[in-house]
Amino acid sequence: MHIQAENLSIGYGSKNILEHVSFELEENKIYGLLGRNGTGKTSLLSVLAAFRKPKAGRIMVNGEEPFENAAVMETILFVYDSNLEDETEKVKKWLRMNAAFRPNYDHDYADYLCRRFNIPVNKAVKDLSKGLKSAVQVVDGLASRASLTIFDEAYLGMDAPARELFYEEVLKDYMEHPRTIILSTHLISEMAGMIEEVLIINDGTLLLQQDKEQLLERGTTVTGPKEKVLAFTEGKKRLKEQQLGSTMSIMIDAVLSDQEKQQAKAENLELGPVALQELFIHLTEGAEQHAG
Amino acid sequence: MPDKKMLVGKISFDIIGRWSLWFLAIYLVIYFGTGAFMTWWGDDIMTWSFLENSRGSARIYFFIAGILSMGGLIRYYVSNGVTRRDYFFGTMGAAVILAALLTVVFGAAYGLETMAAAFTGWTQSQSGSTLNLPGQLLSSFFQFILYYAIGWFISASFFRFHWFVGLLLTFVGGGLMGVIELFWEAENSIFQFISVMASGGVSLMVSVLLSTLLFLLLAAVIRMLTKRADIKAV
Repeated sequence: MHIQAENLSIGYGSKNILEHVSFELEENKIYGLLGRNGTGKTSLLSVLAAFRKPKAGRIMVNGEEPFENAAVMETILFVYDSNLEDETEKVKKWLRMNAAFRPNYDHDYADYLCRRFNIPVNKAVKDLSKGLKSAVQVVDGLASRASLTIFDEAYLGMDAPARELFYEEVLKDYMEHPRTIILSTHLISEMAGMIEEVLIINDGTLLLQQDKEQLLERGTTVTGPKEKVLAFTEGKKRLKEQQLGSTMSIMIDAVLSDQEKQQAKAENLELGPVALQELFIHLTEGAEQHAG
Repeated sequence: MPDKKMLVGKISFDIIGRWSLWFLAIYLVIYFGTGAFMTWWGDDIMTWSFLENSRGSARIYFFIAGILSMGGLIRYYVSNGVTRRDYFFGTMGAAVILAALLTVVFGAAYGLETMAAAFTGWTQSQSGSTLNLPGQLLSSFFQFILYYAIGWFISASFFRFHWFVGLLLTFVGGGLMGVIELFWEAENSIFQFISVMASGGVSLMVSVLLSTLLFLLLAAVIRMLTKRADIKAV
């Protein structure tokens, strides 16, 4: 599923949330949509899922606008932390009802996932715990096999083992049934391994869109004796510093030249990658002040 | 993949139909329970006939069902990749069919009550309406769908606009209820003072025509209100 946003602006009334956002998403790839609270991630995904129209610009899915487009809308599934407190249907029936709208729905896979997540399928959805409600939505999201599947903080309420299971199943099913998946998340460190390409929203606009590996290459963690690490990173943008005894580790926002790598090796300094989360924090620094 | 409109109609019919079954069961128990109690008490004549009584209760039920046809339902359908257009036509279709079914059920229950009264000698309460039986059934059907549409219109107004506009349009909805009375039960209408219908009454055909026009008008307004409805991902 090919997605193209052109000069997209989203807002409510006179308030603008996102302005002049343009990007392109390729088919069959896992994207990570990152941004601080209130930066407009959900609003952007809402436009993509035809929940609302943009204020200006346009978004095209396979060359067509999704809003009120039946053929496109049935291929997009937006899993968000929806309120299921009034959902009186039993899990089994609720999933079956939703499945009727999804041409690629896999009932056997849904049953399998319900067993994996220990979901009591004969219980009313509203009576499930918060974590199991999230799990039911995840089951729906995965079993629907929609060409574009969006998970917006879908794991909220899930405990660590359930989240691990979710990540595992997303990857497994994506390998078997490739499709475009967008993960919007705050748990960057947990989900970083799944993401192929990153989009970061900040200050009402798209800050960057980049292949994750390329993005991570722009940062390096330098570890070794404190004095040597400090000297080596002198003049470079430091993202994070950690110290244990005489050993120090500093994350820098810099692409090292071969010469610098040789120098580090000669000084017995260890070079490693930076975490996506640290880069994200660094890149969006100051957003809180702006938001506030 | 089945036609989405039909699918929405089927699911909405299932959802609203289940509410209707609850309503019907509770209503019949209360109506016949009250009748039995009054007979036991020694006063075996109720002031309203079954058809009038059921119409009064059921149209309130349809009004509430109309209110409930907006927020959660539109969110559910759009979240499942259904267009607002299919949601509108499917749900409206389901409501019209349910209104017709409930009318038939009330007609059948009235027939059973008439038969039971004939066999047992129980005095069946009679209608004060000037309409004959088919006319009364038509009255029920049209009032059901119109009250449903008014309920939906009001909740769509709140969904689409600021609550204050919603409140204003609620008064419009209340006024429309008075207009419906004018079509079918002019003597009860708040507008009877301006009406020739109240004194002379109108023919059944005129009532049917006016009700159909009002229903189409309300349906068009609801469609306009829901056409671009924003769904909040919460």
